[in-house]
Amino acid sequence: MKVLSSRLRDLHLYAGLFLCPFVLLFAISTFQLNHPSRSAVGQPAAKRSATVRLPSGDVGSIPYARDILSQLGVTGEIDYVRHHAKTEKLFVPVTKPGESTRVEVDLKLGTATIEYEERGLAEALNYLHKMPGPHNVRFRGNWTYMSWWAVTADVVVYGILVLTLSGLCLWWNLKAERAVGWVLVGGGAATVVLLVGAIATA
Amino acid sequence: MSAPGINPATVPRRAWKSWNTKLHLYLGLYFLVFLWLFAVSGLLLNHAWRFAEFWPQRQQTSRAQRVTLAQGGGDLARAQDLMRQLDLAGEVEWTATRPTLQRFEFRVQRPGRTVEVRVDTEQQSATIQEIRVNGWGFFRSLHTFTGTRAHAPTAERDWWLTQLWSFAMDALAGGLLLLVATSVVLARERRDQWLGSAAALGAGVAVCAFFVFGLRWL
Repeated sequence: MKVLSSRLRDLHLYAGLFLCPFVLLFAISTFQLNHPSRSAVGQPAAKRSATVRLPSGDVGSIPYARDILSQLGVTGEIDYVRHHAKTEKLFVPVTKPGESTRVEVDLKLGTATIEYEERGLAEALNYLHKMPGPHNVRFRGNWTYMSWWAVTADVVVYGILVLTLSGLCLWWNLKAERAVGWVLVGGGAATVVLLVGAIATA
Repeated sequence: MSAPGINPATVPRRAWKSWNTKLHLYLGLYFLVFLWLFAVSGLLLNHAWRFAEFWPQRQQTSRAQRVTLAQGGGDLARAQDLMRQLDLAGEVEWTATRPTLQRFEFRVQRPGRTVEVRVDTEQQSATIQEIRVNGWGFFRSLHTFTGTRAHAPTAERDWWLTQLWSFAMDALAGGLLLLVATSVVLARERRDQWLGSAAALGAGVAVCAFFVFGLRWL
């Protein structure tokens, strides 16, 4: 039993320390997303133009857009691809944590305008907090590194669940803290239930 | 006077260690259910799991009702007065720019329920379109229900429950920051495990920094 308790303590310690920076990331970005006026403002966009060789394939698809982006030296997660058939233009917004690039391709002339904007650390944290998220699900993870982030975000959540369970076991071993612990767990649960209940029924 | 066998120099250090441990434990226990709620709803947002589908099962209703549009006051006061007449509660969101002077439109938002209100000011009648989603949809939207939007940072929360919920989010974030700080202090106290602790923390910092800073160079 003592060995098990010691192993559990080690797991809680090491897993907790590994997750510390991620918890900081999610906590700080929560403040920013909850109070958006306090977010940092990005740098003015830098614009450049270039010619592109139009690839074959489905205009408006991710591989088509990715081919053009690689010619332009632009990397990152493609937010979406919009093909405006009437004006023969293709819009491809690309994002990395802390950076955003808007690419507009004139399919008639074979030219592209690239607008790059530095968004800063605060926006980088917010972006990672929201990724992959519920929007444009079929596009998400189109940049390898963002698909890695999606896996990492899952690991962080499951890690937090493991941490809370191991924390509960460690608390239970402290007999002197059981009464106070019950009050705190009960108080926290009651706060959540009352708040959620009020939102659902008001 | 100190008790025999106790070095007075170590007393404040022990008290600090004890308080740090208690703070870590108590914060963790109080925020336990909050943390589970946001962790699980975060997973639901990141995965389009079929069992948690809510949009195809949504219920849409529409009705019309006669209303009296208040003459004075700002748009928010007029919207809140209409909400009282229509028995609606939630956060007011402004839709696109008002199409004509004869129309007054707004949206009432709360987890699980979205209501579009369109008022014909000449006819003094309102069309109310409501969308309700199931429990999964409600649960997911608790994660993002802040009452503010990135593209409208000046918008203020106008529903008391939105204010309370966003305060709870801030409290959880603050609690997590304290949990991180106390856990680093606790790790520092365990000198026999410094190598493993440093390795775990270092690995976390390296992976996190790769995503926050490193992706710009790739």
